[in-house]
Amino acid sequence: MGRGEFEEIFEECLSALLEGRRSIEESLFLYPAWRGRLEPLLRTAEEIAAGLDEAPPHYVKERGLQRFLESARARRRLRQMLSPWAKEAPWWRWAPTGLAAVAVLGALAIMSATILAEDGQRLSGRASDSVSVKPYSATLVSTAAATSDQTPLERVQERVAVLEDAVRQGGPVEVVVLEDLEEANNELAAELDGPAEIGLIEQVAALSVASRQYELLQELQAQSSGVQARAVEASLAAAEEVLHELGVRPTPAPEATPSPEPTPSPSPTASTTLEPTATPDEGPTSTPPPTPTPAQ
Amino acid sequence: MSPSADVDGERAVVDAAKTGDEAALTELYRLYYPRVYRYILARMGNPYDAEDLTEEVFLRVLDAIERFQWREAPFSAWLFRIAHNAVISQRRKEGARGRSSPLIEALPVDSQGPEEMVENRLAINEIMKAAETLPEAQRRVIGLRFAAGLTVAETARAMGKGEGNVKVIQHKAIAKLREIFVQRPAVYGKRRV
Repeated sequence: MGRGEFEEIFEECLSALLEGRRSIEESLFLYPAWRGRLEPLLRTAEEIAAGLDEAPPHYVKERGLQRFLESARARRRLRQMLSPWAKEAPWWRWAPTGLAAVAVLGALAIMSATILAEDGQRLSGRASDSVSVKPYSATLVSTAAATSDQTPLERVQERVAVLEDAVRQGGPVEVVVLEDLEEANNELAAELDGPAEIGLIEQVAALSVASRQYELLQELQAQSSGVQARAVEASLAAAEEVLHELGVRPTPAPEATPSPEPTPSPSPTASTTLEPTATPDEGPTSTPPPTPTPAQ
Repeated sequence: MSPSADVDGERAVVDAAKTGDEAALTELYRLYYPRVYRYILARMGNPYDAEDLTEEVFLRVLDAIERFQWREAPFSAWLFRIAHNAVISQRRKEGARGRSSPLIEALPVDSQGPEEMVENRLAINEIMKAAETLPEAQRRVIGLRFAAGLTVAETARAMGKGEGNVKVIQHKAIAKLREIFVQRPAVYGKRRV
């Protein structure tokens, strides 16, 4: 009997062991001639399998799932935003590449200008002479001024991140946070409604953050009461206004009716509570109807 | 039991996930997350790295799933090739930073008691330490077969090798680990079968 034959038998016994179809003793009974070689290898394999049979922490798995689905949603929204342009003008698909190329060329031009200016200064040596070359400075404003110079979109993004953290941790969301968010949303809506041309990338970012905060606020609305509920409602209205300015009609989240028991193993019919609440007026929206089940 | 047993069902789920269907994406995640985590833990030896890298693997899946073709490999083989690349890339980064991945200090497994945790930790440490002496191909086969739960056929596709070759590598790896284990005091942990 050759070496290949033993490896076939060993693999057959190993697969049966790992899949729980047969114990080591049963395998040894089936192949008595190979007992001496099979047994130590199968015992070792059993120990390795037991040692590596490690379950990930439940909360890590669930947190990862939320991020995974949020990322999938963001990609879908971006696709939906770009698809009308892609149909009408196929060259739009190259827009991100074009923008990146322009940015790289711009950076190279600035670097060249800086190096040339510094060289000029160094070579001239006698700065007080006739030639005065100033090196290029990209930082025209101080850092403090820059941080206070946030755009409305950046303000909303920052506040939604705060809101997301608070909602995810299950902690209370202070009214002042909600009021701040409402104010930032109002500014963003005003900017979107204004005469200034908003770039495609900013529009996509605004859509993404507005949809997300809409979902978060809806989630929060279900748990709020009193002053906080009023603040949530006001923020929701402001978020709706932003979505409206972006040409998106938000749809209310379906009410979750928990099934009596969680589904331990996934099946093709399994689904989650997570469904985008903001769907564009136009464009593909081929998402299945939500059938919520509690997260495991 | 390998999830690949229900090939047709998985095919439908993967095809739906390619269109961005959230239910299908959730199902794939729930099906494969524990296996990818175990594989990465077996390769990296650190639960925190395993958590971060597993998350990263699934984000890479989102980027690439539209381009996945059934004719090239089963989904599991494709997925574990991504996981392998993530492990290699992480190792390279750590090498560049001069950091070696520490073995497990504490495993945050919520369903175990302290005694079982200690016993289990020793078992993994023992395996990890022994596996470090194996060549890369043997370590990869151990990770794919024992941690990820792939069949020999799936392992072969994930590694781009023949099934016969994988069986030989597997046999050598287990024989080598056996040699190492018998020279050390037995500290094996819980038994799966």
